[in-house]
Amino acid sequence: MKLIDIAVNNLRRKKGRTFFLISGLALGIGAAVALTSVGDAMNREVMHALDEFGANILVLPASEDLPLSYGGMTVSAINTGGRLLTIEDAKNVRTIRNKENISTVAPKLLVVSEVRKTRVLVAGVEFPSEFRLKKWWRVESGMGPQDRTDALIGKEAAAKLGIGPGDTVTLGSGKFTVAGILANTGSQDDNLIFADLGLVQQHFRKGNAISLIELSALCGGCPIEEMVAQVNDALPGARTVAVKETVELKMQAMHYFHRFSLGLSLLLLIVAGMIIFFAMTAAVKERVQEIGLFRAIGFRTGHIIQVLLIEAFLVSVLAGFLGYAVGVISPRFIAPYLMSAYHLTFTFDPLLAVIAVAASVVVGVAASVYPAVRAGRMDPIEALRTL
Amino acid sequence: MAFIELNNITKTFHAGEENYPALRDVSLAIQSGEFVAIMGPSGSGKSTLLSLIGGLSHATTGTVTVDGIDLGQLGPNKLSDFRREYLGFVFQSFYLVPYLTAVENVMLPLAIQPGMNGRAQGVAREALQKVGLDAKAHRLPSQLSGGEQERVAIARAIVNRPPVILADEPTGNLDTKTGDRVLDMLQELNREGRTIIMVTHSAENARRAARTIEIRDGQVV
Repeated sequence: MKLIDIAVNNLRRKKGRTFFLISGLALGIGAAVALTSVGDAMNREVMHALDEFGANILVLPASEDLPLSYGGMTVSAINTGGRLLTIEDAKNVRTIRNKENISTVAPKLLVVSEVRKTRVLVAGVEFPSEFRLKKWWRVESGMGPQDRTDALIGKEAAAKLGIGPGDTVTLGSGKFTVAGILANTGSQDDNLIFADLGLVQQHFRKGNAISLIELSALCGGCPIEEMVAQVNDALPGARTVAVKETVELKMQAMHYFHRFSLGLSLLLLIVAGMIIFFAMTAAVKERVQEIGLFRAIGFRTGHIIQVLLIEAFLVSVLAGFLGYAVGVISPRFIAPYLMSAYHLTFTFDPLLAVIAVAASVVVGVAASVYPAVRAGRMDPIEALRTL
Repeated sequence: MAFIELNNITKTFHAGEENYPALRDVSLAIQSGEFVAIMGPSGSGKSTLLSLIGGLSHATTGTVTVDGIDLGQLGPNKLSDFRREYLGFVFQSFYLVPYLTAVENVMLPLAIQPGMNGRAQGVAREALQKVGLDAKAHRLPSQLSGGEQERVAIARAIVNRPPVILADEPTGNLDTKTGDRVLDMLQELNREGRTIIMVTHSAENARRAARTIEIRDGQVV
């Protein structure tokens, strides 16, 4: 018979009380774990959504003779005789080590053309990747491109040129049909005409040249700077830059989510600690005579504290494991109501399991210290009222 | 010097502004191996006297010494060590721990006794055998009769072989026949050389002791 046996027998034979203590703490831990899991999953989902939203890496020709503005970004070497990128470069981007992290490669050729006696910037694009990259694009009137000779026109350009859906425009040596007008984007796109990249290259005699490549990298789990370096290595004649605003926005979003889930988890742990504190205080009151007896037969203050803290430790360890299980399983049922479960994945995270059990032990034992010390210091004569 | 000595003991309880003297200038001596009954009506101070000898509370004035140890000089933990080494308690309400079996209850004092690892179970079973309850060693207190519970309490009081047994109304919750059996056990423990101090309000029970100390209104009469 050791002190631990007293604690174990008490927990084993007072099943109702033990169950209440374990479930109280486990719920707190479980909620905190669930919140962390859901928070992480939401984080990943938001990151994924942000990753797919616009370009976060820009590949430009290395020479910079004449910078021109495009979409708030600096584009160089357009029609200046400097070295242009080629469509092969766009393919080579897919060979980098982190190629799985690249969601969209959108090569572009920017040329200046004259339409109805007005100079206009024409962007040769691959429409599918362009639409994937620019999720905000909406065809306001007309329709999206159905044919290789179909072009889209920005709202401002359409108004200035007096062109609408169904009109034919001559770009370089080719004729294109305006399929639709893009809704206002508030960007450079409003002043551009977009047409099929291959045809623009052909009609402007540009061979397989392109002006720039916009990349959308899924960088929730990879360092963007690392990917930039990899692209630079793969394309020696190019200059690759990260669009810092996009990256910083993502980091900020992640930071907010992280802080929110951490704060709420702490709050839940405090509530769980209070449950344990009140339950242990009540248990000590209920066990006054027992504690008095322990003192009468020679238990020191430390022995009583040990018995109660061993109980708290055992309850906390069990609650930690149970709480982790609850926290990992419950989001599977809750998450579909919070977000689209499409990208949502929960995996066994040993570090989170260890943290959950450790947090449970810290909260459970810390909340029991005061009631245990009070019990240990109890006057035996007060406890044994018959004497 | 007697084994247990109380010199000019007073014990006063306070409730708000009021003082209630429970013991007034009590002096007595008990020799090692004596069987002493402390008798008196309810509220006379006999249980207070027992709690002072048992080191469960301190006297307001005066000294209590057991085997030459002045209990008034001991702090809470030293008093715990003293009780573990010198005393076995038998309470009127048995005070068995409800979630421990009979043998586990008896083993309680051994849980904090150094060097008992592995031997505690055997020693406890011996003590239970002595009170005739070895067959019910694995029953919980709720599965035992009042008499059986009192016998478990006696086994617990003697398991670490203390020189003194303090019994507070040990037959108070028992029928006459069972009570007689408990008193037989106390007499037997006394014959084995233990000092027995028994608080009772029954003159018949007191006759089992070699000496009766009568207390009235906090004073020895």
